[in-house]
This record gives sequence, C-alpha cells and structure tokens, in this order.
Amino acid sequence: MKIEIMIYTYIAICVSMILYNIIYIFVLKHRQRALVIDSEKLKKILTEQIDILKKGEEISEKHKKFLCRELDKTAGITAFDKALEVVFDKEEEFTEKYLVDTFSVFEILTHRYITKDTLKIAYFPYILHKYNILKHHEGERLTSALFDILRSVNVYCRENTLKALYSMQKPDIVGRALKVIDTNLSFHHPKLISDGLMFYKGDREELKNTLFRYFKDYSVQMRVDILNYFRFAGVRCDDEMLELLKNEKENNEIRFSAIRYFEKFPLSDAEPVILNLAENLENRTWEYQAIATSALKSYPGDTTFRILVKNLSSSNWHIRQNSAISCEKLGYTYQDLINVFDGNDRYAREIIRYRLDRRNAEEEAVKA
Amino acid sequence: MQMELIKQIFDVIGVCFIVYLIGYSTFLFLSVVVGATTLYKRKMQDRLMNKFAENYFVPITIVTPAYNEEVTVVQTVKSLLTLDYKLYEIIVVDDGSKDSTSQQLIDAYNMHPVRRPLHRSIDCQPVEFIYESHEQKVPLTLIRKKNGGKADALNMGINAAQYPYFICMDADSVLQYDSLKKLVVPVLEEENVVAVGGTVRPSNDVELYEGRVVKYRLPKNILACMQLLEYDRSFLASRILFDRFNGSLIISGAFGMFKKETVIAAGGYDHGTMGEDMELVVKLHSYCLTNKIPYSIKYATDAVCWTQVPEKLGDLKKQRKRWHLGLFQTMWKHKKMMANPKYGAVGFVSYMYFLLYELLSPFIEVFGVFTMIAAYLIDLLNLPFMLLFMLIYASYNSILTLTAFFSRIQTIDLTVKPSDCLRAIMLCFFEVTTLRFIMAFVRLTAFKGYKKKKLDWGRIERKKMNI
Repeated sequence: MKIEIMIYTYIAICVSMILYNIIYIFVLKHRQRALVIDSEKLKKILTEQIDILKKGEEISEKHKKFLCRELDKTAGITAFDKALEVVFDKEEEFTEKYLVDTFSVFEILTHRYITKDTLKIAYFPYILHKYNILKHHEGERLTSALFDILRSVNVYCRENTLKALYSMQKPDIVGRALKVIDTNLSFHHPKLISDGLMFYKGDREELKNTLFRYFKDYSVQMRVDILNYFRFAGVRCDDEMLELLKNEKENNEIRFSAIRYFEKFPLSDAEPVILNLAENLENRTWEYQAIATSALKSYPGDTTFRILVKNLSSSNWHIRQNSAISCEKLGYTYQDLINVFDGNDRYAREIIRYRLDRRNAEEEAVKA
Repeated sequence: MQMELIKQIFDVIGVCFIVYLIGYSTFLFLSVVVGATTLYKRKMQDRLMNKFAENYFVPITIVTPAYNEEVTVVQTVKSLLTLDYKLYEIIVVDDGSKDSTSQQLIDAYNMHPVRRPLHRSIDCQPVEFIYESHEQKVPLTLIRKKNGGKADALNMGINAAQYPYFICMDADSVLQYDSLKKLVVPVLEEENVVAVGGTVRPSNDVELYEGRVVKYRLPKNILACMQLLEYDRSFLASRILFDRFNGSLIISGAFGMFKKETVIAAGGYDHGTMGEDMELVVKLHSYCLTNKIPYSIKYATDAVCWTQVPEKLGDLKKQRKRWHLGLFQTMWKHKKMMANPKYGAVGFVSYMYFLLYELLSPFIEVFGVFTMIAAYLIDLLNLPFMLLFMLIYASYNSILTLTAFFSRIQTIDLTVKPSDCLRAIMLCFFEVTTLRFIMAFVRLTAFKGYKKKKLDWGRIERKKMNI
C-alpha cells in the first residue's frame, strides 16, 4: 500500500512538472506578444500627445492619470519604455518636453514603486536615468524617495538609482547619495562607484569641490573610490592630492591612490615625495615602494635612474618588476643599464632584459 | 527457514533502494524546480534591467592549457580574441605537446620569443620557452613547458597571470562573445566571491560566428545529443541548487573563473588528481572554512562556453572514467569534510550528495540490477509491478530532464526546431534508461589501471569547430 502511494506521488510530481513546463512556455509567449501589442498602443498614444505639444497645447490631466495607471504595472512600464524609445528617436525635443510636463506622474510613481518588490523597484530609476527625466527637477520629495531606494539591499536598485541621481547633474545630491551608499551595510563594489561616477555628465569641477567637502565624512573605501574616479576621469585636483600624499598619518590605500594620481598627472611638488617613497622603505609596507617605483616612469631624471637601478635588485618581485617597467617606459637602453647586465644579480638582469626586448619587439611590430 | 531469511534480506535491500530512489528523486525534483525558477527570475531581471551597465570591467587572465591541440588551438585563440570585453589577456600553456600546438600559434599570430621571468607562486614544471604577441587586441602569451599534466599547466598559467582573476578553459572550447561580462557579474554583485562557474553547453553541430550562435540545432550524433540533455540537467539543476547555499563542489574545468590570490593561498591546482577542477573548488571551500575566511562560490547561469562532447562511445567512456576517478580522488583527499559540522552545508549536503549519488551511484545501481535479476530467479520479484515502477521512475526522470532542457532553451533565447524538440523528447527516455546504465558500468570499471593514467590528459577525438 505504501509503495502504491509513492508511485501515485511520483505520477503527481511528473504531471505537475509537465504542467509547470507548459504554463511556463505559455506565460513567456503571452508576455512577449502582449509587450509588442501594448507598446504599439502606447506609441500611438505618445505620438498623439507629442502632436498636442507641437500645437502648443498642454498635456491633459486625463492623460496623466492614464499614464500613472499604466506605469504602475510592470507590463505597462516595460511597454512604455519600448514605445518611448521609438518616439524619443523621432522627436527628441518634444519628447523631452512631454517628460517635463508629465513629471508629476513620475513623482507619484516613485512613491508607489518604493513599496514594490526589488526586481520592479530597480526598473523605475532605470527609466528615470535612461530618459533624463530628473534633469530639470528641483524638488526634495522625489530625491528623498530615491535616497530610500539607495538603502535597498538589492544592488541593482542602488545602482540604477545612483545613475538616476547622477542624471540630475547636481553635485550636492551626488555627494549625499554616496554618503547613503557608504552607510548602507550592503556591499557595493568599488568599481560601481569609481567607474559609475563617469555617468555624471554635469560640471566635474563642481562635483570635485563638493566631494572634497564631504570627503572626511566618507569611509576609507569610498574615499579611495572617489580618488580613483578623479584619476580615471582626468579631474585635476593636484592640491588636494598632494596634501593626501604628504600626510604620513593618512590611510595607506588613500596615499596609494594619490601616488597613482601623480603617476598619471606628474607634478614637480610631488616628485620629492615619490622619490623618497620609491627609495626608502622606512616603516612603510612594501606596496609604497612598489607603487612609487611604478610612478617614477613619469619623473625622468638622474635620481629616478639611480633609484630604478637600485630597485631592480630588490628582493621583492613586484618592486623589481615595476622598476623594470619604469626603465622600459623611460626609454633607457641596454647601454644605459650596462652595469645591471654586467652585474651579479641574475633576477635584475632577467627582468630588465625581458622588458627591453619586449619594447623592441613592440616597436618593430609598429614599424611593420 | 533459509528462504525466509533470503526473503528478509531482499526486503531490506528493497527498502534501502526505495529510500535511495526517493532521496534522488526528491533531489532532482527540488533542483529542477529551483533551477527553472532561478532561470525565470534571471530572465525577469534582464527584462526589468536588473543588470549592470556595459562599462564595468574586472581585469581577467584567460588561461588555456593545451596538450596536442594543433587542430583546434588557433581557432580557440581566434575566438578568444573576439570576446566582447575590454580588459583581459590570453595565456596558452602548451604542456609539452608532441604535435605542433605551439608552432601553429606562433605562425598564426606572428608571436616572438621572449625571456620572461615568471613569479612562481605555485610549483610547476620548468618553462621551455615563452612567446608573446602584442599585435592583437589583447596581450597573447604562449608558454611551452615540460609535460606535467593539466593541473600543472594551469598552475603555470596562474604564475604568469597579471590580473587578479583568472579563467581556466579548455583549448577545445569556445566562449560565447558575452561570456566574460556575464561571468564577472557575481563578483560585482557580492563581496568575497572567490570563484564563479559558467555554463558549459555542447557545441557539436552548433554554428558559431565570432562567439555568437548563428545556427542552433541539436547534435546529429545520438550520443552527443543525449549528453546535451544530461549537461542541461546537471548544469541547470544541481549547480543552481547548490549555488543557493554556497555549496557548489564543481566548477567545470572547461569554463570557470577564480580569484588568483585565494587560489595561490590555497595551493593552486593539485597535480595528483585527475579531477583538478573539482579538487580546486573543494579545496577552496576547505581552505576558506578552515581559516574562517568569508567567501562565496557562485554560478553564472548565462555565461556560456561551447564545448565539443565525445561522439564515440569509446571517447565518452574514457572521459567518464577520468571524471569518476577525479571524483574519487577529490572525495578521498577531502574526506575530513564528510558530514563534518565544521564545514556546514558543504560537508553535510554537498559532500554527502556527491558521495551517495555520484561516487557510489554506479555501485548501487549495478548492485540493484543484479539484485533484481537474483530476486526474479528465485521468484521473489513481482515482475509486472517492478516493470511498472521502473517505467514510472524512468518517465519521471525523463520529464525532469526535459524540463531542464526546455527551461534552458527558453531562458537563453535559443530557438529549437520542432523536429529537434521531438528528438529531445525521444532521446531523454533513452538517456535515462540506457546511457545512464552504460555509464554506471563504465564508472564502475574506472579504477582499473588508474595509476598509469595519473597525468594523462584523457584525449578524445577533436574536430574543427564551426566558428
């Protein structure tokens, strides 16, 4: 009897699996078809509204209510995205005006979306960012609602919201948003900050000043991410970086970032500090010497040459390698480094020979 | 009296079998449901733009160990050079091939010899020569070393890798154009990710152009087609389920990404096992749990690697014997993890699953067949009931296999012809009832002459791919 029950259970499971599969197929197919139909309908409606704007008339309250209703549903907002993409390409100027005129709808929706599940929440700021809906917005209500989304445990909610906030092009909001991310306990990958800030299309000089104003309030990791962004984006902040570089009490990672900055943007005032870091280990970790040795490629000179030759014989692989790379980049020849080639240090010989051979091969490849 | 005892023994065996089958069926059921639901959620995530922008690049080194791969190595590198990713390098490690693997690469990519010193963080066989090419989209390095096996070749690749993450992939495989972007997603999503496994799909009869699927069809070869169904079931189902509790014990050697620093700290690939891919993952669990290092091992369902599966039974047998031996060696080496509370769900669930339903399954299945024959011979078997039971069990497994197959097809946006669907439906039953039992016998004999095969690369016949 027990065996029979088990067999019946098996059969039931088999049947439920088949049903699951069939329903799954139909739901997906239906959704795809519905999306096409809905987006076509919305395209028509949006085109009509654009025509109204072209005539100099205003968007009706009835349309706004309709839009609010539609965009509250997942199927509606995805269809809206698909339709708006097409309309935006054809009528950029009037579509932007349409989005400005219907802004109140998005304000209402932001508060509604906060209560939905994270998968859906993340889509809403994506739309705000994609169509620059927040660009001309001034109010605080919507911003604070978006800050609430930044506190989400879902990384995509945070990421899409950050981009939406960047699109406002207001440095202070970016500074505050990063503070919210910083205090959130959920992990937000450093790359998403340093590379993500590239999405900020406003005045970068203003952004720099604001971020440095908030600088002390951020965690070490956030500060490093911001400094890395300045370096990647080519935002010059020589004075601030020099101060960080010179401050021996400053966190190691922050000073590493400052050294890397001065490798990319050489500064005569930074040179003695970098030369010292490259030459003397003192009580510092080996990373200082390795990173500073790498930065020396931007500071040609006799002292640099002397330190690089010395560091070629370092017992640390990374310092040796960075020294060889700097020698290669500074254009030193076999003749310049004859003492290394004639010396007793096999490791130094091997690494420098490899880098110089490699440079020659690359040059030949370019010529060919 | 004696007959009564025999009957009791058969009853006990019968109960044990039923418990075993219920356990396995429950696992399959759970894994397929969880797998299909996860894929569905992933699709929804994509639809609702729960994904990262295109410009986040984690630097990656691709390590491709090669041994006698003169037929495919140039194509493999060609496909790697077309990947839609900005920050990566390619290192091919020729493990002392007897054919012209190295020369093929040198000629095809105009590589030049260099005397490059390597930072040997992990022990491996000595280098014979190194060639480089900087004319390509990304740096390409060829390292020819003394033969030492696949694990040794991978360790050499790790030593030469310049970036913090490395991918190991087979020289006969092709990465889909967006595979690197998809593979790094878990690293961006979560903290402390030390390894990410990708999805391996059979490429037999699939047409690829620059890493994109141009024409998808099921392999014409029946054996390859059945393996496709098997791959779908195992990749979609079990790996996603294990991923839920950070319990994955396998990242396929054909396609996986690892954090270099952690792998070096754990000691790199083990030269002494045939299943170096599984051994590394188990070792990472063991290393991180023992040293109380927070970590996670993830599975990227949409990062796809296309690979050739054996089309000849002989090749398949060789491959499966090798896999089974690798499994045994890994389980034996890390036996301390078995049901050990110190290792949490990895020790209790993952290890026990692999022990009972992977390592011991051929023994149990073959024993089961012989028991049934014996019971029939002494008239202790209700044959019609047994046949009905087996039929239902096979149908159940077939349906789960089909569920995995269709879920995979739909969620990675591949279109399959109705005739191919029909073939899948017909072959899944055959796979469950026939191939599975053949493979059980094959795995049973895996230990025969295993000392000789220790450093063997386990060759299978290679064909040029449609790329």
